[in-house]
Amino acid sequence: MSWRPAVLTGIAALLVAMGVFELKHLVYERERELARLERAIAQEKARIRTLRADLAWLRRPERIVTQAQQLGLVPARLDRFVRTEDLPDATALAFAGRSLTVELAAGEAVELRFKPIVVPERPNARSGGTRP
Amino acid sequence: MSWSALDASLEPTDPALARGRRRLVLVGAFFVLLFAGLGLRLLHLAPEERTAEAGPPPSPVEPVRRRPDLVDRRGELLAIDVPVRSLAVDPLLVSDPRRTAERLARIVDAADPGVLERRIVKAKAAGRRFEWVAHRVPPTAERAVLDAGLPEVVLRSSEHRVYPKGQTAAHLLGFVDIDNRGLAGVEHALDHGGLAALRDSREVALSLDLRVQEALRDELARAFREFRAIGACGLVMDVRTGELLALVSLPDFDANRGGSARPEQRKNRCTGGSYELGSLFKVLSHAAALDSGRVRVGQRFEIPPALRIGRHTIRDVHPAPRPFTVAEIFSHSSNIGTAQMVFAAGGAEPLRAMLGRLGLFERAPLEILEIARPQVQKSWPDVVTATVSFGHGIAVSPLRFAEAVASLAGDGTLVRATLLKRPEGAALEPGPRVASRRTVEDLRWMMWLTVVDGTAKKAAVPGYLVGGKTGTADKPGRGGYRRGAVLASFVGVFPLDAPRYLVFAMVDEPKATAASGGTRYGGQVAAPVVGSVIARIGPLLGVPPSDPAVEARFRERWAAMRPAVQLDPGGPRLAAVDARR
Repeated sequence: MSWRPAVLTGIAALLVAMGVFELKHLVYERERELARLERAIAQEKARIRTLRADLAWLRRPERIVTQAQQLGLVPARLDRFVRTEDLPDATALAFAGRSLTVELAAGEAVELRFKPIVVPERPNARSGGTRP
Repeated sequence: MSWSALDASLEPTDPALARGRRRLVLVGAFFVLLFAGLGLRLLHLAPEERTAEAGPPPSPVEPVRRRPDLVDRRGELLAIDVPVRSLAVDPLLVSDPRRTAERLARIVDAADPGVLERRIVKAKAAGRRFEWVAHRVPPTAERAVLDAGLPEVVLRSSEHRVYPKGQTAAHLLGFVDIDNRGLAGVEHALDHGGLAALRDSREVALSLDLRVQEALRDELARAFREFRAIGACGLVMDVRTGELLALVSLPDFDANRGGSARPEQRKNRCTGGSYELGSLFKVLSHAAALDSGRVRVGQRFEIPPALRIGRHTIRDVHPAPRPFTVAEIFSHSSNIGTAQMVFAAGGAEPLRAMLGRLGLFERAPLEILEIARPQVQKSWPDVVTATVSFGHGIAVSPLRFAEAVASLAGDGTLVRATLLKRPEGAALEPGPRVASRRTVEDLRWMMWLTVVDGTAKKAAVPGYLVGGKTGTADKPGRGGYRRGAVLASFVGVFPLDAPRYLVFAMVDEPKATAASGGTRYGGQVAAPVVGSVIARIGPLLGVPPSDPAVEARFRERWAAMRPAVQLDPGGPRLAAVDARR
């Protein structure tokens, strides 16, 4: 009987065993990494939630009111509403979100920013601003 | 040397030697296989052992069922779950209760070491394995516990509901108990009511607009303080969609401490209370009379100083100086005139039919559960018809009433209030028609007249066509109506050229002050609140100034109907309710 098949089988078995071990170890490492990442994601998500709560707390109305006063902001008033077609260069206002420097009657130049406003549906309505 | 040559050189010539060598190969192969098998088994076992060392892989899935975040219509956060840690001890692992108690008390400020020690000793004696120390500890305390390396201390993860805006919209949002179960408002509805389908969503967008909510609360709180009232409520509704942009009830409470709020703070007066709203109801009775087709806006009625119905007498606070048109009955809020007009339109039937179409005999089907049932008389003899026409003998929630006015002043189709934001661009399905277009036009005009030349001049806002109706209702008490205790209210709609929003304000038991000219009328107390709110929220909501052409049309109609004798310009004529029955 030849001893060669026996030796070759043994070597092959050893090689396969080593391969299986390597693979198994790799999978195990990956699983650990996955669990670690999932834990980190859960922690980050929890942190984001806490930060969102903090941000919402900082944006509470009573604080905004005091901050706005300190920054010299004033409430939106109806008498500051300007119809786009009443502006000197109405054709330049094709899109909302643009800004335009306008010279007021008093001689002062101010920068105007336009935001889209919701115009109620009504027939023969005059445009109340740039439409989105 | 090749394999075959090696083979040949090793091939023994002696048969005994050859047999021995074969046996040797067999034994060798057996051992190779044996060791390979053992090695394989060893390798198979190795990772298992390591896993056992590291402990079970930590589950990233949160064990607690999180509540959805609540946001306003613009995405501003109103309620969120934040993860917190709670501290407990395993008493069986405590060797020295005093030492453990003292160390924990240092970490958690709130704990009293003596009390804690006694609790640990007691739990240890009872053989319990778990004893709470503190709920919702700050991250610093958690770190301190880990640094101290106390094996007997157990850290538990849980969710804690936070309301970053505190008192804002607390009545609508509601609050939760220590186990994060909803106890009131939207929180309760998520667990038990109309919003249960949304319980597992990540975020629930409410119809509220925080900016509008704050403007309304601010203005209403000012009136609440100024008139030393016992309560107040207000709401802002989109008349096309029924979305509630704001709802305020005062006194209110901090939703983060909802459990410790007093009952009068927790009461949602807008939805959870039914009130006899007084003259506000004239919006509905006028709509019913006009819609019957038997009464016209310009029709005049003689207004006697008193109207007797059976044993009952109805009076106006300010007697009419001359016959009033239907429009003047509305704008000057004459009880006698309203009762006469309703009888001229057919009595109880048209009025009942209108109130029925508007759903005033049923509970409002809002998403939250704190909704009051209306209180309605079973039979409607003439005296009940008369009193209901000016808002007595029937009690409804302000929310239900607001829905009715939104339906009538909007486009005449039924509007149902909702607390959920409508999806952007969703098609509007109009409800069933409750009043003809002509009735709607007439009503809008009469509401405008009330602000321009009636009881509600203080609700006027330059730039917008505002319309509305004032109410000053005596509050019922034992055996009749209480003297001097009133509900002052105002319901306004703007801009009247294309109605978008309804603003309602009610002040409960205002005391007369110099600012109100020594009176407690709705026109003096509640109308200014609504005027200020409209002036603040109109530009914020992007409502453009009203169309001057529509105002000109309104004024023309007024001029055509004006009596030859000019009205007394010395202030609005107030006709509060005087219906003693």
